[in-house]
Amino acid sequence: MNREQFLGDLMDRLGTLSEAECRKVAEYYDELIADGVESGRSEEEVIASFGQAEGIAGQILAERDSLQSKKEELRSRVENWQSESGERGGLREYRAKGPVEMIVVETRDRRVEVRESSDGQARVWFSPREGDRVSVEEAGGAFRFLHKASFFSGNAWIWNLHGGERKVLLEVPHAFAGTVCVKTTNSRIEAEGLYGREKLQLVSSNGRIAVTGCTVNELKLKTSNAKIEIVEAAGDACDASTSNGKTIVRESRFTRHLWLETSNGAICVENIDVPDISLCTSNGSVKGTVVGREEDYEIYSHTTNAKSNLQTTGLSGLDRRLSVVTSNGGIHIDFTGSPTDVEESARQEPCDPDGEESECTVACSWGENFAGDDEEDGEDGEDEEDDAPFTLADGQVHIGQDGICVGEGENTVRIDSADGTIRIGNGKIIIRNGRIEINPEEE
Amino acid sequence: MDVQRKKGLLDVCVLAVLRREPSYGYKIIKDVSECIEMSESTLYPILRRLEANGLVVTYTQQYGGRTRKYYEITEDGQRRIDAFMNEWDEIKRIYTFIKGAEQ
Repeated sequence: MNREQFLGDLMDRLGTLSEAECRKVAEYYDELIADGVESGRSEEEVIASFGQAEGIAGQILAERDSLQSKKEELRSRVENWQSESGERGGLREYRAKGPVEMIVVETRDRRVEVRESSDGQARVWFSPREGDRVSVEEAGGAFRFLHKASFFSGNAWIWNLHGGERKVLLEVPHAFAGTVCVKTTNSRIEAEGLYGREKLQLVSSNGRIAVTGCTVNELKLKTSNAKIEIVEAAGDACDASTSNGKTIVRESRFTRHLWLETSNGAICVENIDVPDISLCTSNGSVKGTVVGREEDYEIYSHTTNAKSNLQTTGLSGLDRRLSVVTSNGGIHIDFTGSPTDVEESARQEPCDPDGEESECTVACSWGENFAGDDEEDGEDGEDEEDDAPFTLADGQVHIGQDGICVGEGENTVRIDSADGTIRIGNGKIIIRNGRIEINPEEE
Repeated sequence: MDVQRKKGLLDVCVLAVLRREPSYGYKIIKDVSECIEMSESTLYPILRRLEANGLVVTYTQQYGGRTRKYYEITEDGQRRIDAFMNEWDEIKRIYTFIKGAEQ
């Protein structure tokens, strides 16, 4: 039997397989025939060594069926999600038609959930309502879902409260190796159970970002005035940046680096296995456990007005680096001992970012509690309102009970809600009986 | 050898071969066959499965006027091998237990 006959026979027997899959099988055997002939055997000989086309096709179809049953299981989970959200009828599917290398989801004031796709296709589930404008594009290997609310966006959150939960669900194919960009405003983003080599970028503002149980290539997270939480994640690199919110990373492993940056919030890491760690905040403590031995790390540690248990080592040329910078907050990092796998390393006592902050000055206290330490889920980003140091409404900034503090050292500006004073560095402004008093004599 | 057990072992054998360097179909079969018998038709579903599970990634390279598909192990693939190696003590214990019961 020659090459054409064999491949033709094999393709005939793969009837129920998709065209793309059939092509892969043909390419595989074509390459084997060419390599076999090159090593000195005849084409017939090589083909005869493969055995009967019937048996070959049988093995391929059996493997396909076992993969498919897994997919069906995943699909039923998605259906569960739909019925849970109570919007089964109203949800519309926006599906990528072909294979894509880039997935972009942009929305405003809508919470976004990112999950794994049940059938290898990228798609978005969303229930558009009056005033929603949705455009979906697919070109040049990129799938874009863009959503805008045509009414004044300031009202969008009120609409949310009345209309129940509004979210965008993005499904990313298993083993995806392209880029995924998700962007929203004033709402949280949650990614869970992804497994691939994707570059995952999640950007929000005033909404927390949570990544749970994800294996990706790169993780880039950015938000403001809210918490970032990464649990059981793995990949090459992770960059996470927020402001006025804490950052938590637990049970995670990155082969290149983990760079965390926030302000006015604590950083807590627990059992992280990364050769290059940078933890940077202000007015907040940095605590946790790092996999490895202290002597394996080149360490830089700096804080003000508080203690650090780390010793700066200077440039030591070690493979592992740990840099911790904060102000007005303590630093306490423990090491697990010899480097091990994250899952296998003995679980350290979980650090408690809400616990005592003895070294912390007054300035850092509110940052710790901002952006909803409570895990109770309410409406989109708005559930954080009670704890927030300030909120935006009616075009004005409203400052909460605990006041607000910006900047560092002599440049610190602190507005104290309790007595109505504004302090700038060592100076003080009080508004009393309609008069502005600058640096008044202390009573 | 039991079909299911062999299937599990072959997955790890293929990964072990790829740990040395990225490789292509013909060479993988040759390398694995040094240790355990494996046919062309067995390898294909294994590679598909490893790829679907993110344990290997593929790329094509030009070779003598045609293309060759190369398979490269991922971090997760490496971890799969490590997990297998860690099972060894357990397997040894079971083996000793079975052997002891025979007598």
